Amino acid sequence: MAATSGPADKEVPAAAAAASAASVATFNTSPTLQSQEGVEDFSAFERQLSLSQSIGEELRPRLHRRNQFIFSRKTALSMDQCPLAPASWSQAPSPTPLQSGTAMAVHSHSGSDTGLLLADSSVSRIASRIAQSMDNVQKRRSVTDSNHLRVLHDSLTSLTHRITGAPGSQESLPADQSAASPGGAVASLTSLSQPPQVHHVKSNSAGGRSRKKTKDNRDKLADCLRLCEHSSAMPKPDNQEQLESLGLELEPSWDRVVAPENTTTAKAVKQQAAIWELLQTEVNILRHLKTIIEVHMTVLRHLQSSANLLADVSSDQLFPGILPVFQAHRALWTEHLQPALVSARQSGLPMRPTAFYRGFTSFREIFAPSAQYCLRIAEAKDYLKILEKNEVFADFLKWAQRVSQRNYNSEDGAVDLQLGSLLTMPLQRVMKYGLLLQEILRHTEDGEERLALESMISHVTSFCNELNSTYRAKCDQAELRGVADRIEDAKLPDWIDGLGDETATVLESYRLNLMRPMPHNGQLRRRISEGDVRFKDEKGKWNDAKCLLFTDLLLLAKSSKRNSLRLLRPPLRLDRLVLHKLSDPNNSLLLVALTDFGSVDCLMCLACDSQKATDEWSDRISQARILLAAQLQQQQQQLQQQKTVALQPSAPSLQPQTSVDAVRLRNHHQQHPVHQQQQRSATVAIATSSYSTISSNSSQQLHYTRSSGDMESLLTTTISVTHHHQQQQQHQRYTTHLSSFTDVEPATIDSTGTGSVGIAAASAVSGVEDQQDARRSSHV
Amino acid sequence: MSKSVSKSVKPIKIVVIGSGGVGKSALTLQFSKSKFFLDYDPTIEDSFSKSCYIDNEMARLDILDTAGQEEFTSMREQYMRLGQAFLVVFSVTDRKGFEEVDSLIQLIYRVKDREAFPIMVAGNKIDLQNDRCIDQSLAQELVQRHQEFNPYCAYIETSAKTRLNVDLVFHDLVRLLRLYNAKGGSKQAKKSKCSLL
Repeated sequence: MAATSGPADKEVPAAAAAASAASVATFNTSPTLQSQEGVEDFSAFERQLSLSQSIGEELRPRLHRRNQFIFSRKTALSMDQCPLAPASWSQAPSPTPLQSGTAMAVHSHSGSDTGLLLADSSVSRIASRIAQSMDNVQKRRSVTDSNHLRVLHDSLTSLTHRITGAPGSQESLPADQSAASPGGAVASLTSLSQPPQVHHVKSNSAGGRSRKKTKDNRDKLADCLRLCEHSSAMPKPDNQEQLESLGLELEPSWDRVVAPENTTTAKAVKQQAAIWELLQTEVNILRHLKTIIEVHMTVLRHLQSSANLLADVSSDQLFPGILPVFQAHRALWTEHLQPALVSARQSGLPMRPTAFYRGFTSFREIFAPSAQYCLRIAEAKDYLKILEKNEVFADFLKWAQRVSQRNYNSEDGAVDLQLGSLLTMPLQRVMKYGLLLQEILRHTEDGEERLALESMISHVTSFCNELNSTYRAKCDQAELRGVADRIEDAKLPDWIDGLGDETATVLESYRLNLMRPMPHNGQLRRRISEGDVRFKDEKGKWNDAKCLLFTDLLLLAKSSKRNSLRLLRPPLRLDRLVLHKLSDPNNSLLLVALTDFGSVDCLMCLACDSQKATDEWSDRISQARILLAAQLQQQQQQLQQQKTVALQPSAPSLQPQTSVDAVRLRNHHQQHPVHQQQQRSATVAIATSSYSTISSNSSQQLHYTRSSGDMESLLTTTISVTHHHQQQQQHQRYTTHLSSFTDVEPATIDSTGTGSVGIAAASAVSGVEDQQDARRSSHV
Repeated sequence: MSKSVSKSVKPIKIVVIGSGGVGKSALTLQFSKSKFFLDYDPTIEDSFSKSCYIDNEMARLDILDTAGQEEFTSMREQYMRLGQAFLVVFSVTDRKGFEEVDSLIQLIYRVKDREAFPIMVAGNKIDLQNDRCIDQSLAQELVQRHQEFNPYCAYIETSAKTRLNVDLVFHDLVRLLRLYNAKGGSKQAKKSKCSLL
């Protein structure tokens, strides 16, 4: 989640310097990396590449593949094997040393930074190629993330324009830089993470220039803001009328509105005060929102459009959906709270909580559009943190904070008007309604009013609970992606080296992908725990390792310098795991993964620093196992039900065709026992291929036709995957298909051509899903 | 006066956390407002700013009260990331709230990715002596356990109702933060346990 881009001004010179040394290179730094490490990382790569050049052409494909691994492992952009790296590589011309080096640093905002240093005389071609690839990735990515990519894409496009438009992009280079990479153009793209004035590569000599530019911009900003300062010259927001017509002027206290003779009991007095607090605080939040929109957002946009200042600041990212939030609060205020206040002003009668009944019982409808804001606020604040380092932007914030005071009465006391705090308020506000209503309820005696309030409270809290779980799911996913991006298979490169390129191609599609839904219920797995442990290797020596527990599996990995995780063991399925506490002095824990036959598949012996930590791990694993077992059992029951339904000829759902085919298939087998072998292998092949296709690719329609010899029996399985969300359903449907296969062929595995290939491919799979598939296939 | 000074002072963000109903808002409100509420104690306090002299040095405190958000745990990290110093409140009349203190402190370490951080633990509602179920020694013990590796952690007993130690708890927290910053707190050893956050 910590989407801070690395210190670009440190990284980019490294890239530029290296560009002069070797013309083809790639560097990639994760956000936590210091520039030092960045260089190390980079030079290792460089060595690899110069090696590739000296050894010759034949090694290149293999290295390319390795590079792909590095890319897809480390970049947030390439969670689904971003075509970025391969695409750009394929664009790179011959491996002969080039005279011109071109560096491009691309900072992705969504987590890690991606750096590309490419050798090509025509930068534009690559840039457009990356932009294209971005498009592809964007299509595959979830909606929330696509926003980052969109911005990245935009900036890439602008880069392309800049480069194609002007070969004089060298102009922006400090003199020594151009000299260091003769004939090369260094374009640094720091679209999101960096303020505009450090837009070009910084080096020692560039520092002075950029400082001057910053100063110019700061002066320009000060001039513009001075103009804006007078209320009459303030740029007008789009929804100015709405902002003006809110009627935020409130009496200092409720007893100025409600006549004292109408509130006789102490309870009634407190109730009115509690209602007044609700109104008062609602006015406050509207003021805050007004300030954000009027002073921050509108002026920022004005500066961008009129003076081309802070042009790189994305107001959509900084204020993600602030307008829907404003609309929600405005609706609550003008339609539900304010009318009650107005009528109290007119009549002098006490305000009744029932007046807000409609507003809070339709809380969900009113506030649903603002949920996006709450979900994206974390990213917005990370973005703000980065922006604050930009001096021009910091000047703007200071100005805005000062001008914001206008929106507040002096007797309100000091309000924390920093943008970061203002941006947090809407999120907090939503969660405080429950508390305020509870307080009104506490001072309400009337039975009807109490009932109404209880109903209002339940509506508000259920909305907040939902928001909470949505947010949690989002965090879990981000966390999982963080781990998934760091995973690297320790064994795979060795196999690739040992088995040759063809195997490498085959194996590439079988890498562990934690982001793939869990096989048993199609949901996303969650990281339960991660921590340092010690583990005993084959020689009985203790090593440090990291243990990662997920909803359905356990990983043992070694964390490397680059913060990546090298898997020490294949992922262990929790439901196949047995746990034994050993009575040795280390209090170690023996984890045994069992095969289907109850024999040992994989073994590990773990221990922690303390007995307590070991016990905690043991408890956590046991709990996760119990949870998973329950889920599996539930799934089993569902499948059983579906199977019963599917086998009934009259059942309209679940493709009755399949069961009919299954029956036909069975009949064929009885008639033609000679072809049984052949048929079985084909079935296995279908099962394997189709399943892995489904899991890796939600394609629209998979059409499998199988004919076997003279029988001419045809089994058509059509699986349509229309939407990602249906995957679970689809998974079940597919499992049903598999079960019907199993019904047909309750035999063991044969070893004829196709069959063995299918199984071999499937068992090489490191993804859990496919492992299960492999096992399932073996049942066929 | 405070206005002109406050501009030059870098604000300190203090986040007040604790279980529901332990008196977070009450403490915050008492600190923020000098006036007393005669007939009605407000339920919530929006985040606010207050400048005051602590040990002859001006400090501007931006205080974030997290009342009402206890249930919504996923959002917790959101506001905890803002904090430069934390006030962890529990009520001496509520065992459950006290039991949560430890996990909240652990959460701070995790979110801030530090092994030590300025944290003030406040045992509130000590005016309700008859209902008291958490002894002072019990709370002291908890804080001492943390002090072994986090010297910037302290315990204090408060009463928002009688205004006992209300100013002190905030001032002491600022002192802890100053100490922490003086010792190069931000550069201190990052938490080794979890490298993800």
